[in-house]
Amino acid sequence: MIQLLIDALQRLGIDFGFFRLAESVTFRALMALATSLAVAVLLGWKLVVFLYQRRLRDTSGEFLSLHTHSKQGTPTGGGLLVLLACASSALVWGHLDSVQLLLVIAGFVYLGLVGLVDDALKVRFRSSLFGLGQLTKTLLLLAFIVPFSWLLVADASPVPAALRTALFVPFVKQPLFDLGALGFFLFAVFAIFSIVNAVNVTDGMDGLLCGAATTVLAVYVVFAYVMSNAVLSRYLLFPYLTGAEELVIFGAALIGAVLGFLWRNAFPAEVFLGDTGSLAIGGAIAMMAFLLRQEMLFPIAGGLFVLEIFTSLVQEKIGTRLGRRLVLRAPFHHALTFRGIAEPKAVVRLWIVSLLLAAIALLSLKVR
Amino acid sequence: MKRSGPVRVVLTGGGTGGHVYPALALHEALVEAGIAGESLYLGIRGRAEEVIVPRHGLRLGFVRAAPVAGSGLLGKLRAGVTIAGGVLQAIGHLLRFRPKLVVATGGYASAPVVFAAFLLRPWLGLRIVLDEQNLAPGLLNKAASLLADLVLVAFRETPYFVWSTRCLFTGYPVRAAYREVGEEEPAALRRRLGVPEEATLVVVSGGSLGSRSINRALAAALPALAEVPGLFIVHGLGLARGPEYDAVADSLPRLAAALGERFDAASRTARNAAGELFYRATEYFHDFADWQRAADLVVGRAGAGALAETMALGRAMIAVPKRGLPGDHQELNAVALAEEGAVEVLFERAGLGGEVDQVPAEELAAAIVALANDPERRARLAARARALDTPESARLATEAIRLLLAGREPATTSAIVEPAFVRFQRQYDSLVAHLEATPRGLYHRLYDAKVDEYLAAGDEATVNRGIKLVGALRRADRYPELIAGLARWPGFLRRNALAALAKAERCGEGFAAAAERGLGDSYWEVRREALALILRFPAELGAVPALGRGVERLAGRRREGFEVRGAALRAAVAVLDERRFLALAAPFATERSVRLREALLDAVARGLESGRLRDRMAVRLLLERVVVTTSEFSPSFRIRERFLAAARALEEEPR
Repeated sequence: MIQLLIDALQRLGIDFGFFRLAESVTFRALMALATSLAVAVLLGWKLVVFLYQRRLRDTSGEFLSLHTHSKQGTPTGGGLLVLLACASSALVWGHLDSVQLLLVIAGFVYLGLVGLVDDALKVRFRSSLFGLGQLTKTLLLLAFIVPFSWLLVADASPVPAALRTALFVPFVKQPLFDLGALGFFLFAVFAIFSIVNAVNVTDGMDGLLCGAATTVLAVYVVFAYVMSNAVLSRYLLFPYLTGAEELVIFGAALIGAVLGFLWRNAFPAEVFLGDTGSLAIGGAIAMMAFLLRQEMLFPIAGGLFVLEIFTSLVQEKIGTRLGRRLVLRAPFHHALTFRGIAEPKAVVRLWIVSLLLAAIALLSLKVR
Repeated sequence: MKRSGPVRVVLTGGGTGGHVYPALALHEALVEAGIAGESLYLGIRGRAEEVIVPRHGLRLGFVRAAPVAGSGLLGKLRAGVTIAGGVLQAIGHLLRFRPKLVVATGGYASAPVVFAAFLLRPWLGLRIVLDEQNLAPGLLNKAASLLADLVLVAFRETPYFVWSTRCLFTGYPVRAAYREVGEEEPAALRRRLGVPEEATLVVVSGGSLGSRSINRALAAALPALAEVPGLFIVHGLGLARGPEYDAVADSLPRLAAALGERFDAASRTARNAAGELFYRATEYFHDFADWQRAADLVVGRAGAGALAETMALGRAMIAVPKRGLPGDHQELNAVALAEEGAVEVLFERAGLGGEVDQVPAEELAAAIVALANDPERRARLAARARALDTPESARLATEAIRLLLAGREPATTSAIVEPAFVRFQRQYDSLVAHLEATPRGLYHRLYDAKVDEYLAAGDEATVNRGIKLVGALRRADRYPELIAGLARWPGFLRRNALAALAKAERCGEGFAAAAERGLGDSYWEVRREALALILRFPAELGAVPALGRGVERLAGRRREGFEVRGAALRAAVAVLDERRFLALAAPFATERSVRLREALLDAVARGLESGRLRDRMAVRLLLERVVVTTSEFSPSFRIRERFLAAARALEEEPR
């Protein structure tokens, strides 16, 4: 939007030197981050009050059923703040004629609203049993994922035709093989759905998802920056992607929003992300990964998410069939508290793990 | 804008009489209030409404409908097609009749009509009112409630289940016959009905179709009841004539077999031990309201209607809820009232192995005799029942509908608190904990009746529920089944079976073998529960040498998880001698896992309390070595402490 404003002013003959600054990607990204961070921090408390009064609280309680030591009754659906802060900041600092940007924002907001409906239903009917059913939720997610995946391989795709169906693998220079349009479409549907769910199950401890998502987003922002820069991409032997700079802006805005949310979500949380936040953030990461053609980087950068969904699936699909636990507790972060590691400590340890994974992922920029 | 004059009304709801009568009762009230004019009833062909509705002088139209619940995916699809067809038919009826008000009372007949009415709502300007009589509505009614402008409910807890937020508590709309104050003296009423004035009149009826389990239980209970002087039992067998159950043909031979020659098959009466007439069977009561009014005690089903009639008349009642209905609604209805002390409840047992559901005859006889001999208790029940009655229900409903038709919003409620029994259904473990912690009561009886059914179920999840029930209810008669199950059940069930045994009051036969089997189990949670079982009965099980050795082995096994090693150390203090325990415990003091150090401290405390640890010097040295550093802690939110202090002060009566 800033871009439109400057264009309009310049057409009127008004020009200042710092306008050129506002055209640089670095500056816009930093401003997007700062804006969303400020919005999230400033509106945070208002949102807590709003959610609390709307009774969007994590499992209801009667008047006297609050416990002094439990977090029951904490407002949920705080992802609304992330949605608001990130979308507004990205719209202000991004180029509104960019397909990538609008696509990512649309998907981000849609998935967030699906999550919000789920959160609201859970609260209205006082039980996770009454939230959106597994099937309904899957269908609502696929309602976005399928068209998005189709768009990736279609002629209108923002990705250059030569790269559309090629599978890039980290630490390998050339695309490993070509999946073909149908193969890539199916792969994309599966992968995006898995990523969204993996991020969703990771949201179970104060600050865990916010920290882990920040590191993954940072990795993708760096990749987007490299790919949008003609010099850097030639030097590091990456394909040059026009329009990827808008993903830098979006990613930076989302990092700011997530950090701004962490402001209130750090242990002990005043507000939870809820599905509103976890589905939206998961969707944003997945969309960035695919638009940058770095989807195979996710198992490294987002290794923590992969571990979480893996333990949870192993227990749910195999363990319940065998009739026994296969892992101590699923998803993985519950195993840590079960073993006697306090929640804040477990969260910090998992942050450290995701930082290490992010470092390894960044290594693949150069080492290939 | 206030409309005056009667409007055209469409009534719907059906399948069983339980849904038709409320619609008629509401219609009666609407006519009396001058709201309903010309009316049309939409029901299903061949159901109760086809018989009942014309008798009340109402026009009847038919739509197609089908139940959704239960049947498989194919059945659900077929039901969906039928309902869609029904919606089209209903649209036709509504367009021709052009009503201003649609009143639906549930049952699957009402679903297509409500959907059609919702589609036509903007064009016809009609209002939709749903009347939900049961505590927990079925899926179609929940969905339909979202389309309704107003949902009338008969139970205060119902808004919790209904998806709509526009609920109004009115109570159950009983027929006007129950509201009229009988002009007849009780004595005159009894003379007219042919009942001895001094006798204790018990009216038994399983509804208009009759109930197999009530009929059979009563027949079997009659010999015992015949010994009680002053009892007069009137029994409505019911109209059921199906291949499944024929009420009269099934009951008469049973009555003859139970009473022998005291039973006169021609008049369907029987004489008691003193030779007086004490029992009369009839197929159907044409004047059931009079019989209920004259009765000292009513025995019947726990449908919403039957309960509401009892409340309206203020009678003592033994409710026998039918089990296995959608959402267990009769059982829940009965429990809700019994918790208020307004009815007595007898629960049906599921028939196993091809048998039919049944009520134990001796329980029924005992309950009838106890109440027949205790007029004070009957009076208490009757008074509580009357106190729960809602005589205003018709007025509340018509007033709200009048407002609605005038284009205004009636005051409705959505403030909801989760009823306890809902939490129990939702979180099975909270039910188990409740059963375990509270003295025997209503819930214990309800779930006592379900143990056998659950244990015999085909799927593991239900068997698992049964295992937990056996534990919580301390059903020693079922322990052998749990022990036998250890050989074939999967891990969760083995674990829960051992946990159930550990709740027993005393160490039963086979516990030692079960514990030994558990110690060698391949699944760690089973080993953990076996150790907990040993700790529960240290005197009996600790004396078994194999178990003592097993405890020592598991506590010392390095590759064992912390859950098992911790449980083993806790058990060790109770079964091993002091020297062996201290040697085993020493390395636990510096274990990395805080759970193991916790186990050590638990064990030491227990050992000191029980006097098994006497060498205080050695224990002191051990304690001094325990590393008490950990990251785990429990936070306390001070603002919540203050909130609770303020809230409690608010709850207390001011002085």
